[in-house]
Amino acid sequence: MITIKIPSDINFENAMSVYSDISSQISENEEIGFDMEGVVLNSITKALIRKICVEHPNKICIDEELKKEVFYAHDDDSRFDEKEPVDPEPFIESLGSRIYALYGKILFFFVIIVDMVFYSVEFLFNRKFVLKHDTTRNAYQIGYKAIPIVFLLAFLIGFTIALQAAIQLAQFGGQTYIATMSTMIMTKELGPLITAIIIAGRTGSSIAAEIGTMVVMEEVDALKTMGIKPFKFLLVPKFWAVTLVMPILTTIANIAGITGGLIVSTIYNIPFGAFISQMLEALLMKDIFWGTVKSISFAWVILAVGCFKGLNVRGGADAVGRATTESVVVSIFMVVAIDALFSIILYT
Amino acid sequence: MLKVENLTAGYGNNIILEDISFSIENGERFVVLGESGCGKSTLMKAIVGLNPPISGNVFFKDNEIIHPLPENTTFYKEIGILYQSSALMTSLTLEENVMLPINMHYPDFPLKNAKDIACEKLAMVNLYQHRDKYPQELSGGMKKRGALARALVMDPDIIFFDEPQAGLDPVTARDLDMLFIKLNEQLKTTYFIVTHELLSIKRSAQKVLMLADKKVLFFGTFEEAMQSDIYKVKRFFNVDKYGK
Ligand SMILES: Nc1ncnc2c1ncn2[C@@H]1O[C@H](COP(=O)(O)OP(=O)(O)O)[C@@H](O)[C@H]1O
Ligand SMILES: [Mg+2]
Repeated sequence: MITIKIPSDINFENAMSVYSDISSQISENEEIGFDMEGVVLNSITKALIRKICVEHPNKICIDEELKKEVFYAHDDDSRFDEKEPVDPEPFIESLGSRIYALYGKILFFFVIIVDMVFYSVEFLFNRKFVLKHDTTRNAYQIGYKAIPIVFLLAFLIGFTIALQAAIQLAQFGGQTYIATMSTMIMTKELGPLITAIIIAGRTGSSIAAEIGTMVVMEEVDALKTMGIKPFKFLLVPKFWAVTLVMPILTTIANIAGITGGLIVSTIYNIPFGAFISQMLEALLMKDIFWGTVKSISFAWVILAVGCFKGLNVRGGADAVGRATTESVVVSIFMVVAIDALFSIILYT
Repeated sequence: MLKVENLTAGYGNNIILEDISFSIENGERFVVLGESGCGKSTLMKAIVGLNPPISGNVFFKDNEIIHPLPENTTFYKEIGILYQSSALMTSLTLEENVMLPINMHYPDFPLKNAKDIACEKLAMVNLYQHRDKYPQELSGGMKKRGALARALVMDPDIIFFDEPQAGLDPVTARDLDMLFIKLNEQLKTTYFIVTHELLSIKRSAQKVLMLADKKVLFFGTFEEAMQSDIYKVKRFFNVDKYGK
């Protein structure tokens, strides 16, 4: 049995060299004790002793007091109690409980959608629990403020697509079809889709953040215990705001995208009058109607996802951040999926 | 006023409180105390229905409160809650916050009169000059007072306080306690105060309920609590003398 002197000045810088020093002494001997004279048990010293004890369990003899202190085992700690290892949950069962959890989430999501629509309709007859002017304020925030970005993005995408198409069409003299193509692709698909993606990024994320913060700050609890229905208070003004502004924004997107096509056809020397007459021919009531239906349903899904993610926040600021990100990702995914579904139903 | 019988509460399968019974008289300042994590907030949430009890009965003014409450319940108009984080709506000014319950429950009530009531309540808690500020622009003590004004606005019969002095300096905490006591004597509103601040308990408690190990450890008047022979009660009031 030899005794190793533990230095009293271990710090984060010299710890590794002290460690290798002690390790080499240990490897030459069979039974080791420590001389702790003057040593302060700060965190790095404890960590060092802990590491050595774990690596050489059969060689080190230290007294129980020190061991307890070093292995942070306090009275209520069961670290040293021998425990049967717990069997991990069998695959099937863990799959089962995951499906069950998923089922709960999907159910909650539908509850939100149903509640949202129910309270929004009920609101027309009963103005309780909704702030005055909140709908207008939301319409301004969600709609008016988004006009420039919707216009710009739709214009650029409309322009780019028309340009690419024109290059192909020009090869067999079909430039005149730019107007038809721009109009159809915007009203049928891209108008609603571009608008929805912008709304998901702007509004969906802000709803998730707003509701998530309110959950963290106990504001949602406070609403409940003031007898105010949080769903109605939070969602109804936003519901009517998006339902109102979505068709308008989609129309703006359509106009911007077709304008992009117009510029391309001007580049290809197609007369303005010819473009307009072709455009009017391609502009079908059916497409505009279904485009509007689509855009409104996208908006509702975005709202519901934002609300769902916000209400599920558990924790603090980081959880709010995660909810915001997830709400954008999930709502964009759902928008695209629903769009595909609509296409299959309407155009096949 | 409020009677709780054999209440069991918890989260999921995790039972936090078991077989809790007590009753509160009209106008009383009733204090729930106990160490951190013993379930004081859980008890409050169970009574007001934020986390409904697993079993047991709660009677409020002789009517049983069963969650989910019916659509036309008046329960939430008759209680006020002061949350630990104040829980003022951050998107509304102080005045709008205090008006909120009136606007929500009585949408046809004239705005001007609602404002007037809100201002009177804000004056009551000495915040009248700050009525146009947002909650983020107020100090902790001011937020608590603002939340109290909101809790008072519907003239509730009982106000629940969750650790009202948490995070406040002793002087502000004392001022707040004095305000609570003054309003309690003036309005005869029943108080249900969750706290573990010794000074505050000594100032305001009339009845005391002490929780420990999921159960009621002590229930009685404040004077009885001070003279109690139960070890944990004695220790709570004289920690330095008894230690661990
Ligand atoms: N939302 C929750 N979900 C699960 N457990 C909780 C929740 N809130 C509190 N708890 C647990 O309940 C116990 C009592 O908490 P609480 O009532 O907040 O104590 P306190 O007396 O300090 O107010 C604690 O052990 C806590 O971990
Ligand atoms: Mg608490």
